[in-house]
Amino acid sequence: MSDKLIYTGTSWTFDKLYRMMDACEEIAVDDMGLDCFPNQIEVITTEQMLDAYSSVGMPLMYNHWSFGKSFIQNKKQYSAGEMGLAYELVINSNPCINYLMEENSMTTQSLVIAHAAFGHNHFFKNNYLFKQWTSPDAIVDYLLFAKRYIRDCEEKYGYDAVEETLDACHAIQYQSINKYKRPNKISAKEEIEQQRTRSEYLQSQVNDLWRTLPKSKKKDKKEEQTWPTEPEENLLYFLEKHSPVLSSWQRELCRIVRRIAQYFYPQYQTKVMNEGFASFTHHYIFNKLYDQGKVDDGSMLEFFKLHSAVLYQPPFSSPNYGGFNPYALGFAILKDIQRVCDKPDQEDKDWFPHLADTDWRITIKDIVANYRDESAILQFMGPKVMRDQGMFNLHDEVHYDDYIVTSIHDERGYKKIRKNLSASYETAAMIPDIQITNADITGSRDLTLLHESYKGKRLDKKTADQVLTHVQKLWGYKVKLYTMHEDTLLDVYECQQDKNNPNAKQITRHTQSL
Amino acid sequence: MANTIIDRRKNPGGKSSDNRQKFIKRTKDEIRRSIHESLGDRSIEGSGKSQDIKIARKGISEPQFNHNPQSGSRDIVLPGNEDFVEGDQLEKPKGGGGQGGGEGEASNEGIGEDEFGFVLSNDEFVNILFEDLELPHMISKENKSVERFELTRSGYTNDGNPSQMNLEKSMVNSIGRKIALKTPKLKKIRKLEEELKTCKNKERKVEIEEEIRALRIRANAVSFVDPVDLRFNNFSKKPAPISQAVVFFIMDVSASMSSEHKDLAKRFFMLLNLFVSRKYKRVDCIFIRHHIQAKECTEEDFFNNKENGGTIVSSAFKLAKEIIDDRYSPNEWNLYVSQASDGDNWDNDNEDLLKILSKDILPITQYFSYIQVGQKRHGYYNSGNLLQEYVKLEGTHDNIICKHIEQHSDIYPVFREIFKAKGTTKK
Repeated sequence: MSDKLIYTGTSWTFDKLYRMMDACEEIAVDDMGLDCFPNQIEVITTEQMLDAYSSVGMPLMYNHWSFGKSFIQNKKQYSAGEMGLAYELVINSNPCINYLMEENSMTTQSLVIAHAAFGHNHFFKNNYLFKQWTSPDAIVDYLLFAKRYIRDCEEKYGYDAVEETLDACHAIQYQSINKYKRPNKISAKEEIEQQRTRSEYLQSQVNDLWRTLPKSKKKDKKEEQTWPTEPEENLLYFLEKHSPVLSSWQRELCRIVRRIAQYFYPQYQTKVMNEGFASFTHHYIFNKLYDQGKVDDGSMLEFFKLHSAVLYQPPFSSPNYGGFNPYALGFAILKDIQRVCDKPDQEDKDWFPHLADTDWRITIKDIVANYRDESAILQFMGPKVMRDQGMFNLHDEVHYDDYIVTSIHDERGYKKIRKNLSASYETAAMIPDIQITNADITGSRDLTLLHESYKGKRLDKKTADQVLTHVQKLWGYKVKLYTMHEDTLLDVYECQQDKNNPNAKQITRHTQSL
Repeated sequence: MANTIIDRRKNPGGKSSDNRQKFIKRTKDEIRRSIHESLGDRSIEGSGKSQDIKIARKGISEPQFNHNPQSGSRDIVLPGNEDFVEGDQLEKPKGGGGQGGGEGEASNEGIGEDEFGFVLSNDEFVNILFEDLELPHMISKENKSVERFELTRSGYTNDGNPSQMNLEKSMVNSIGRKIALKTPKLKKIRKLEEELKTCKNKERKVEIEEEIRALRIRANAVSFVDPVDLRFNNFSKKPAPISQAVVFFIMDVSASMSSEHKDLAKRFFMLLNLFVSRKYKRVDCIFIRHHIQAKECTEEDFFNNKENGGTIVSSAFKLAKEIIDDRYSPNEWNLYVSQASDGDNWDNDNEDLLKILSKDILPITQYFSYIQVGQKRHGYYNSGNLLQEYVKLEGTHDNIICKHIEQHSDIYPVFREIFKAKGTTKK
């Protein structure tokens, strides 16, 4: 019995890690049938984890003061004991890079390997959003390209000019994502090649453009046309391609920022399912390991302690409540689906007739591959999950003094709760939906943005004004923003070109020197 | 699946230091203000330690489009229901804000404080403190006494110290030489050996063996690395121009200097001392304290000893002149004088003093700064009238500057004003 044990005690060694990897892989691949990228496990120190935290979890990132700020912040919080660090960090790349903290115990390392190296890894490789929007083969090379390109720009055009452009790009990065159109996959080499041809092309065009500008546009005024003809959801894409004032390197910066934002887009749409599936995986693998006699009772107890800490869902009335714990919610949903597949009762058969008595391995892999948080909750959150968690729905109207409990976890409430919880994971609920509807390039050159209000929500005025200043810098002329809710105009924001603003001038000046 | 485990713990840290420097650069004005505020209360001596800094969040916000939580209608699903039933009404928490924990839409700033606090290392602190300050009018003087050289890289040589061997260059040469000599590749030999193993034809076997033997001989004849391949990094000595300077610290320690006055003067001099020692490697400091008599003393005595007596300011300059004549020829040295006093002088000395200053001291010094410490009163100076006398000199000489320090918080701004970089003939 004891020869089967992979390890005992708390300290880890590389040899133990390798054996644990193999044992996990056996269960993940042969039993669960997971399909993963090769893993590259990297053991790192606390300091290195803090570094990774502040470069949005990427192994390398271009330099910007905001990353320095978050590093300072994280480090301060960490050393004051206000914040713990994650046990691991995993990157959607091929090979899949997993960071393990050196101070983890062997059980923690094992849990993390099962969780990230197999759970997340399978999710990255198979979920349709990740497949569509990210190229794990190219991301590390692309980040390297971006880092070098930005460093070169700093040398050529000065730190301040680069910083200012990046600040502006960062302000609208979440509105610079293609939600529907699918980008072509290209390698980093092609990327560099394309960048060169793009900038050469732009260089060759700009001079000609200025020379051939027509003297007068009066005749065209009759046909009041909006342009672009279709609203553009990707702000940085539009500015990169059409801004009248940016020089070619600034356009490239817009592109870098929006490409990286696009890379992260699937991550925040699949938080619940991704963490849920990874937790499901580590739970399954660890129980199997125990059944096989590969981990001892002590390790199993430690595992359960860790597992329940990670998956703790405080109730709404607790001071620790900070929304649904994605680990707990995702795990509960998937665990429930596994039960429905294996041992369905009458209720399950009513709710999920197509799932009852199917092979849970296939069903769960299908959910992982083809759904995101919003759609997975809407389709697969069963009544038992809602009952177990005691879910209820509050309705909040701004002008009411009270919240109203509109549904609770009962027959009448299930579907409504499920619908509302699902809706709260819609992107529009989290990130304001703002599109470019008109750019008056033949006349005043005003740029018009439209904020389609989600359930009458308005923008925070202070930050909206600040962001508009950044957009104005990138566009060079007046920028207007309308908030519309079902044909009602809620707010109008405007940002004029500031003649006295030396920064605005600076951006303009770059163009003229082209 | 090929899984690998890599130990990254030995990798060089400090990945974020670039970003940290960028952050500090961006917030430099704010940091400077914060340092300035904190300077008043703390002792300059303590500046060997790291420094807590608080800056306004204004300049470092990263705005995004956000929803205003106080708008629109919303449905919130929450866990942990105990006794609510459909139709219950719950009073909203007063005071807007938190919304009972609401959605997890907290900003990435954490708590919306107005201030952002962090710790500056001592180096960062001092660098910002003395940024764009310099000893003005510094010029390169002839310097025969001290020979200074800098080692600079200058290409490669064919022979040298093994520790300076340039591996890359040497190996490139080695490969080039082997290609030029048509050295058979090991791969080719191995291929033939493979063939030999499987070969059945006897004649062919002999042929191959012969070929392998010939190739081996040729391969062995060419050495892997030959002495002619080796290249060494070359360094050459270049004389480095040096500008040497001496700074005279002159402080009045007479009875009229109250302990408050002395404190202000000492703080100013400590700042100057720190500035000079941090910014310039090769600068001498001469400390002179005076009452009716002037005395050269050590740095420690200068800042710590107590003495009393009357005041004859000219005595200090007489001593300074002696020291200059004795040790610091103006032809070789940049001379700087910084004096602090409460402005009190023995009346009969003023004439003498001005004469010494305008004749002996000012013509040979690069820069003379005088600070008067103590309260101003009704536009007149509380104590002495030295400042009024010195102001006359400002008209006739352009290398003298006179300032007044009333309280702790004046010290740093005045210091900055005196030593603001002027981009002069500094080499």
